[in-house]
Amino acid sequence: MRNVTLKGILAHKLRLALTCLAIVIGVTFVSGTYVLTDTLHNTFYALVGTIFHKIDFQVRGAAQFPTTDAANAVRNPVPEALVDEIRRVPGVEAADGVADGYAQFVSRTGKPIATGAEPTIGESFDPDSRTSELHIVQGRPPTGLHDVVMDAGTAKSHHFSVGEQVGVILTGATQTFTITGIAQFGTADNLAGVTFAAFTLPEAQQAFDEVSELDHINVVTVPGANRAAVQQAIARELPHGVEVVTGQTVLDEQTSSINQDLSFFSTALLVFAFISLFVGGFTIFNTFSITVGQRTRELALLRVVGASRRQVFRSVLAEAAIVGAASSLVGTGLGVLAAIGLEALMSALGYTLPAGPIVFEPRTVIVAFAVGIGVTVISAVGPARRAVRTAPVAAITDRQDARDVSSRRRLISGAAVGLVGVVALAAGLALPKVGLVGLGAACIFTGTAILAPAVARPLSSVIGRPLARLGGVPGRLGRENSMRSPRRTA
Amino acid sequence: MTTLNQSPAEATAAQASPAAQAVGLRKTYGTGGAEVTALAGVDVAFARGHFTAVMGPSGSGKSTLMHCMAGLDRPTAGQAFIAGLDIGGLDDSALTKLRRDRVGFVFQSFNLVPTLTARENITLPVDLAGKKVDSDWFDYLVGQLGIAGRLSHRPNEMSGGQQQRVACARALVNRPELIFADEPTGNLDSNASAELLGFLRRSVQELGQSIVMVTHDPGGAAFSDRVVFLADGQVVGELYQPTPTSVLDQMSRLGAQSDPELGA
Ligand SMILES: Nc1ncnc2c1ncn2[C@@H]1O[C@H](COP(=O)(O)OP(=O)(O)O)[C@@H](O)[C@H]1O
Ligand SMILES: [Mg+2]
Repeated sequence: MRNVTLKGILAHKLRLALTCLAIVIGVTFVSGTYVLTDTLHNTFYALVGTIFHKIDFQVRGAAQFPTTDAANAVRNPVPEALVDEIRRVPGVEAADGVADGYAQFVSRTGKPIATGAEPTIGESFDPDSRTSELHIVQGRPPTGLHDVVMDAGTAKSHHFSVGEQVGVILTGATQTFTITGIAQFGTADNLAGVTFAAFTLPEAQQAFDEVSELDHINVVTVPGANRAAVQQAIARELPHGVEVVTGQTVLDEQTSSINQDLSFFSTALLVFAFISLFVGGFTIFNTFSITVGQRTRELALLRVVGASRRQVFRSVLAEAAIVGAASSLVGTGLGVLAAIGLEALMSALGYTLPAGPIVFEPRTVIVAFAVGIGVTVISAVGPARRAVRTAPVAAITDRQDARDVSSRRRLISGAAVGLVGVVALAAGLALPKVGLVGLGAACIFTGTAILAPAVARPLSSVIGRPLARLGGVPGRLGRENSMRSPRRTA
Repeated sequence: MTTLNQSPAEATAAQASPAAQAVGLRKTYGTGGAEVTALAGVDVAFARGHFTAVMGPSGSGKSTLMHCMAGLDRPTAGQAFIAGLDIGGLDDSALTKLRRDRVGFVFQSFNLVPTLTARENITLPVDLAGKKVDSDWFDYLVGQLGIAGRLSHRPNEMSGGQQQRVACARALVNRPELIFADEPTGNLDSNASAELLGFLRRSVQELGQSIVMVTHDPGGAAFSDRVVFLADGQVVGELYQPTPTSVLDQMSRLGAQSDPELGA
């Protein structure tokens, strides 16, 4: 029986290729989405880690409103005088204040520089390497009025170098600054497309806050200090409305903020994945219906010479599983390539990321194969059941035995399931909720499958025409077959 | 030799009973005005170790009789026995096993799975049973049938005669109680027909095989031990030790009898 299955698959290479294509596309999306988002997540995490790894604590205003995105919460400023008090707390090695806000470079052609929707950040330059995430790779730190340090990403893509003048948009009109240095974050040229302008603290305070106010104070403890005790000691110095959190908390907040951005991105990609798998599943359902239709006599002959229903059923499903597995393998591979390609594209668009390895989680392979094989096998269940119901006499006589769910029941149940699918799909896309999209696609697929026999004849003649031209004899056979017995086409 | 479990008493009964038997077998297709009676109460027994031919006009119910007796189709009424076993009481999976292990089939056409080689087609019933092929028996069969050189060929790479001989080997590979052949030579030229019929004849004589064969050809029927004549779904005559002439005689007598009744 294994022989019959394998040879049945190989006997129809063109049809096989077309069937596989649909699943390959779907699995490529699934695998590509996972690889890309895993890789981005990993890269961002490493990036945020290099920025915040030095900091043991951060002192900042408490969030003004409860929020799920702590990294972007609205916070009151912190008085600058606190810096000296914190420096005096036993166990504190260094404490430096930072003022930050919005600052956007202007290109040589006079256009504001931004990459996509990423923020353009202005910050006071912290010269203390114990607390600072920025380090100068060229030139020197800002020392006077209208000095600015530029992130290496912007400098590279817009060809600015040390000593040149550059326009910067702060809250008001564009002002002209002198580039005194070019800086990197850890090993990255910029933070995934976020542009960065660093000024002297007084200039930043004037631009972003009030004189003698700060946005936060970064704290580093002496090696071996009892951090919990230090945190408590700092907390005792703080006025109402100011909090001290660990560097890890800041890191987690930033990461979860990035994840929220990424999850929207991956939702969009997964929606594509489900749509293409839905189309793929439908294609497979049709292909297997036609295949089984064409092979009614062959399968009935197997029944005549002693194949049990279960053996025939398994043979059709095994065929589907093999086709699904092969397609999933190709799709998973293509997904990795697609992810690498997309990452290269992002970098070409200015989202320069630190060089990070492609992340290929076991989960990616498992989901890609489960989805690829699952969709194929589930699509083949209907045709396989029909194959099993073929009476053995059908091998010898060419008479069809007409067995039927009433067409009205078919129409009503098919329409109902399909409608539920449309609603779920629409809701899933609007929210967006991937689970709902998947459910919607599955329902639409099932509904269409139930409805199909009622509309198969007009449809199959339309679909069959180009197929007959394309596919030669097999296509023609499939078309005649599905015209003759509409229930054979989906 | 059989795979179904039998008690000693049953085995003795099976030994005593004919290879296949029909009792009051009826089969109707369709309902109401469109009802067609294919078998109108057939009582017939096919003896063990005999070669029986079934003849009759087109539409007389020959194929239907075979299908109902071989467990390929269910009769509307009456009983069918294979070696004393009432197959009406078997469920689908028992019928499948019966076809696989105890009955062999040769049809007029489309006997072979197109994607499999001759060898794979022949061993299909054994493979489906998950058993090992008896290679001595296999070699003997393909030798007798003269297809040893064709075993790696696909059906579409073989002549009609070769295909039918492969089908015969397939029918015999599980050493069945009985072989049903429905016009096995219907698509063959006279040489290929004679070869195939000669092989069937020898397998009855030398191996004690029981065979029931539907045929249109008086010359073919003459290879058998006995001819059973069907008309309008009923047994209308029989003939032992037939010759082509005696078969023709009988056919024309039956034709003369039934013509006025049909009112054609
Ligand atoms: N599946 C079927 N549906 C309806 N009528 C059938 C079917 N099979 C056979 N018949 C009818 O039953 C009668 C006997 O057919 P069959 O056994 O094939 O005859 P034979 O083999 O002697 O030519 C014919 O009238 C035929 O039209
Ligand atoms: Mg017939």
